[in-house]
Amino acid sequence: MRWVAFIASILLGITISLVIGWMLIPPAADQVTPAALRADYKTDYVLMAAEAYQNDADIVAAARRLALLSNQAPLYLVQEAILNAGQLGYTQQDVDWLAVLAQALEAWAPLPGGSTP
Amino acid sequence: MSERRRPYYLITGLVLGLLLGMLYARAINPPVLVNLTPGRLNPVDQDQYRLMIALAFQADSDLGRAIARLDLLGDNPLADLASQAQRMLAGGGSMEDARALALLAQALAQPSIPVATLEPSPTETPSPTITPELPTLTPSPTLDLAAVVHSPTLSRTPLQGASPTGAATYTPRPTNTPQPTAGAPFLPVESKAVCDVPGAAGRLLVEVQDAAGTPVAGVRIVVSWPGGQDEFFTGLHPQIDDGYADFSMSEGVIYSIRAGEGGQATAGISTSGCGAGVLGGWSVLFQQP
Repeated sequence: MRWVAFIASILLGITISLVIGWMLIPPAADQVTPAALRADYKTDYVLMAAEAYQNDADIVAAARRLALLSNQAPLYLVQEAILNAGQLGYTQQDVDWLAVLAQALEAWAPLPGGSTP
Repeated sequence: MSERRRPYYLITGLVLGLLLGMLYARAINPPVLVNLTPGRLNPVDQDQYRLMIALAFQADSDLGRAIARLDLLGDNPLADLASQAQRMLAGGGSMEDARALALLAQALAQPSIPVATLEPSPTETPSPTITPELPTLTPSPTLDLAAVVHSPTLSRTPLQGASPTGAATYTPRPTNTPQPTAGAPFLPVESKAVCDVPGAAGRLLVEVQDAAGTPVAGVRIVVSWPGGQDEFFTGLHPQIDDGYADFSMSEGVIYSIRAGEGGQATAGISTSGCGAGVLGGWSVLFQQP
């Protein structure tokens, strides 16, 4: 009987800790990275990278900026942004900018398997 | 009569459980935040986000969009842009990035541009049409870019060939903030000691203007002295003047200063221009011919 109560008290302690650690105490601010951004903000970030690329035509800098968002290939991020741009109602100009960056990235570092059917 | 034993084992179990749970919840499997706004980013990434806004503004000149993006950071955009540019310069960061921040700060400080100077976007049409192929695409390596772009060339101006259905909801923006024109170096037209201006003691006050006398933001200023050099930009103090910049001088050091690329330097600048024992300032005006 005592062992059962002991184990039950451990489980109660674990439960309390998990509630506190996961739900009541948010992660420190320095742990919040761009990867945690909402999808529409990520899409806007990619658009900003595409706009910056329009200005400096520096594909290495563009890839470095995109790398902050995710470990995925920069080209994949831009392709995903193009799809989201359609759903978010971006203008054709925005989509053009994204597509230009996608093409530049494809020429610079194509995804495995290519990007055309 | 038996003595009633206190349940220390329950307290021990509870404490043990708390420790194990906390270890798991904070170290082994910490909570992952998702769907956040840019305002929740850590300070370093907020700076990067702000820089991206400035770089994008350089490309699209859409101040309304830049303001909307800056608002997501939930800060004082003007002060933060200027502060970040100065930190970037002090830390040996990219000059171009600092200049982009300074230009956006200057644009924010001067929101009301005369309508006559606005240049409408060449694709400004009211219909927000998206090409019908977009919804059928999936995020995969097989994405066909030709389906989503009308002129898929690596052009710096991709909209020139956009079809009439291409839409743009941009606010017409001025395409030219006062900036130095290539081939027109800034020349020092006035360089003098400043003795009676409050707050000018020990400071080098710089003003950069174009040929018409309009203050110019984003001009790189290089200050040199025996054994050292520093550089900064105009436009970081828009509350004073778009073409204004200043520098803190040390006593007993003779400085020279140059504005922009290929500009002419002026020398003999020091804090002693107001007489021996008096900490003076110095004012230099650069202008394009």
